[in-house]
Amino acid sequence: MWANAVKTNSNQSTRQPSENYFKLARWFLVLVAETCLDPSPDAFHVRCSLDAQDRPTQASTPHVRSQMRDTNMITFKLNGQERTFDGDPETPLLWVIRDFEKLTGTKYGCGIAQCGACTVHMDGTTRRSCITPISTVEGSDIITIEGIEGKEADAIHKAWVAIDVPQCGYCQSGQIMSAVALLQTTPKPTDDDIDGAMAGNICRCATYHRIRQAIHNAADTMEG
Amino acid sequence: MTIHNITATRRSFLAGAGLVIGFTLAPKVFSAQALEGVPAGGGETLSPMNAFVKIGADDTVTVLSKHIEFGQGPFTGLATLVAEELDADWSQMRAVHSPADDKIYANLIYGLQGTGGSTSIANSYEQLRKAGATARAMLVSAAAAEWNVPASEITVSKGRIKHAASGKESGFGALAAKAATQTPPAEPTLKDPKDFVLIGQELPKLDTLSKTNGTAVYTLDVTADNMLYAVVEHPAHFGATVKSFDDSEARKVPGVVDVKQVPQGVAVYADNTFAALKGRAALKVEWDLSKAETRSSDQLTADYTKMFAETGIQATHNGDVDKAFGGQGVQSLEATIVFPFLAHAPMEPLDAVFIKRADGSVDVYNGAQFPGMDKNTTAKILNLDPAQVRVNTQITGGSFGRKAQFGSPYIQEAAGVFAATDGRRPLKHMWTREDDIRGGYYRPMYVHKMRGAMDADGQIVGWDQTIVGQSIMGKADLDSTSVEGASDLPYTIPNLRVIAHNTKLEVPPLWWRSVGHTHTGFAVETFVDELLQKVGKDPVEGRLALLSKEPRHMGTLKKVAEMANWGSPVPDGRQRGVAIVKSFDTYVAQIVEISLGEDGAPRVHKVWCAVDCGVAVNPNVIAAQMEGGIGYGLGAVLFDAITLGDGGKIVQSNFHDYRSLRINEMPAIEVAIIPSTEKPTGVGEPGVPPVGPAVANAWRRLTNNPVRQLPIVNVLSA
Ligand code: FES
Ligand code: FES
Repeated sequence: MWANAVKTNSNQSTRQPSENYFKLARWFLVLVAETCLDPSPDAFHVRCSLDAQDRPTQASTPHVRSQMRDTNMITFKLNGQERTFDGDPETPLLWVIRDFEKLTGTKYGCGIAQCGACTVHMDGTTRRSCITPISTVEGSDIITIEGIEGKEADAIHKAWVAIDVPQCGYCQSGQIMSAVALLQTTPKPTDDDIDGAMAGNICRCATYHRIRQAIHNAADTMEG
Repeated sequence: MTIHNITATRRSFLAGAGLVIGFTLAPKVFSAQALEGVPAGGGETLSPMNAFVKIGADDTVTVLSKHIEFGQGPFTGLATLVAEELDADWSQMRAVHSPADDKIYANLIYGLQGTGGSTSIANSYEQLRKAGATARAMLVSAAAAEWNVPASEITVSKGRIKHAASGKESGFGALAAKAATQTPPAEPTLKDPKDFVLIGQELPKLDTLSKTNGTAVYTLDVTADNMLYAVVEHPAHFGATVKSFDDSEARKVPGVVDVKQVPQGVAVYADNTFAALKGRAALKVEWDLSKAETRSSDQLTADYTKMFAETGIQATHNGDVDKAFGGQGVQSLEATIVFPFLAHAPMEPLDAVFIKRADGSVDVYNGAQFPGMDKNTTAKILNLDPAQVRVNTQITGGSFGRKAQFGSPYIQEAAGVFAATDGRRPLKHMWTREDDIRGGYYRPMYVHKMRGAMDADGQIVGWDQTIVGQSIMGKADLDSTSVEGASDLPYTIPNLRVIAHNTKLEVPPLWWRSVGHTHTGFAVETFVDELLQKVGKDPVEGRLALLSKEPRHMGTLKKVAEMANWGSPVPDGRQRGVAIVKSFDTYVAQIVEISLGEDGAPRVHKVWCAVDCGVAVNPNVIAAQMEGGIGYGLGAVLFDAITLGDGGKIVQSNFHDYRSLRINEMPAIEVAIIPSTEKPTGVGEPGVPPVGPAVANAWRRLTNNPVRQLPIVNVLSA
């Protein structure tokens, strides 16, 4: 999917690389990292209306543990509880979480790693669950908005509530998952750090102004 | 008035409306549990005071919002109005969606239940205050009866009912059941605005907590046992229909249950979302394009431009425009401005859940912006009496106009997909982002031709504007939504003419956050700025001189100039632009500061925004709507167009080619609300229109390039 993500910016690529481009580059790297685990664009991704040349070539390094196994049974941890899944191994983690596990805080917004509404933590880092086939989740630790804990999560939640960040709220689970991950690695983020970590999360209500403020406020409260 | 009763047999995840926005932290571990959606109207254990207010034994006050909550804040706003007159404490307030009822819950401006035109607060201001005052009177009369004291000696404050002489005191909950049986006063007295304690305060929003811990239930989250998931394969051309299809591969996908042709395309039914999507991707559909729109956007622009030569529909003509342009020493300026189709792209794509009950009635869960219309449409398609259909509006992931559709075409599709089954399994129908971006009902394309006349003294003496585009209301004659903001130009120009041409095409049009002002605001505010520059006038001073008959425009513009310290030196490489647009009776002026970004596009650093929306019911929500409106409008103006390519095929499909503003592109924003005692007006849309022209004006002053086509990035790379 990353080829596609990069194309997002190609409207501008005939000009000088932009400030924005570099800021976005950080989350593209995240996406690339994710894509390397993505075994192939499956039929579903093909449906996402990408022209053939926009699609990534068959994935370079599919180290998909479950494909080594004889069974389709996939075992992973979801918010600390062990779960198994024996359905279609191509099923994106997003739909396993939502349709099978009935945890609906994680949202669908685009299905192609463009909006971040589906962001979860996988083994401690953010992950777009919409492009993560469940087959690649074997043995992993998945945390969703319903299960996120710790001092960063507490600080982010409080800061979000204190200044009423959400409008429609639909993107906010993803925003919060990205913001918590940011504070876990960068307890005192600069505006550039925030841009780098959060540019992959679209908010159509454009609550960005308050998201930025809330992250700074959360970082301040964590200091003490 | 009675509250519609909802069958008590349903499992309801959130029985007791108080929990919907309860102030408790979510449990950290959730068990797998189906969330059957939030029933409209609040829990049945609550005592109804009237159609809008229910009180629980636990002292909670639940306001039934006739307006959909999709981020613009009616839950909080309407609850504020009720709480004010009820003398409730803010912490006891809750809100849920009301049932669908075009009479009881009508938008008093439109006469049907509906949210739009930034009217939620404006039309509810008295109605919901009265609902609160009525409930208060009923509580007081219940307390008087219970304590055997005169009602006139009873006081209510912060949710406590007191009788000082006897020392009796109670919360609302203990008296709620009795209060519900009291006769409501015929005409409750409302507070004098100077006595307001909640209206005008920065109250926390009621729906924030559930939107930060994953517990808010959106339509997409509604689940029922044994539910079917359905998606529809749609054509890539407007007006295309299914010629034939091959579903043999689709049916092999594990989890796919059925495939059926529906009027809108081919529906795939499955046991889970992914199976439905995978099944849809495996379909082979041949489309009949004989009735489809096959013109490209470029051809449409050329066709629209040709219409300038034809006779149009006159929207306004003051003075004598032709004479003004022919006057001695008069200079003129001409410009053509092209606006693309815009998709709304709300974060939650269109979706709906249908559940048939044992008695044959049907519950619909959806983001109902026109609930009564959605109800009637569902009933018609399912061949039911409307009384057998309950529309349960859910918290909704945005709309920006997309979910307010006459005749409910989306519900026609979704209910049709449900109707094509035997109805024994509940069904969730969803659109993917691709369906959304390619789904039509866009802000139409428009082409404006602008002519301005300036006399030898530097006065603007003539304004001639022609607007070509689709009528959103489907009119053959003048559609006021095509010309609003232009035909009622606020600037005093002696000779003014505005002409409209309605075009016909297969692409269905719709209102998009701020409707006509999305394009008229841009055309008027960029063109007046250019004329002022031509005659050597300052953009703020020049506008003020033309607004002498419009005191609220003047006040708003002066305020924003003061905030930005207009006229003070601007940092090197930066430039400022201003615009003011009145829409939906709310006045918004914005000043932006931009520079040339490294990519050659405008980089917007800062936006100052002044808003006059009458009485500010909740300043926190007003500021949020200004911030959000600025971000939404800016993204569209910088990046967005839906284009029809060769043969009329829709080019864009998802957020990679229909860009949204991202956090790194969001300017810093300062908002000021003008103090006012005028009736409150809306804020959901009016923040949008000024930002585009303000950026374009700064850009023209920075680069000498006027913006004649949107989005701005397309023109840069051309
Ligand atoms: S739904 Fe996964 S990034 Fe948009
Ligand atoms: S709050 Fe609506 S999309 Fe972010």
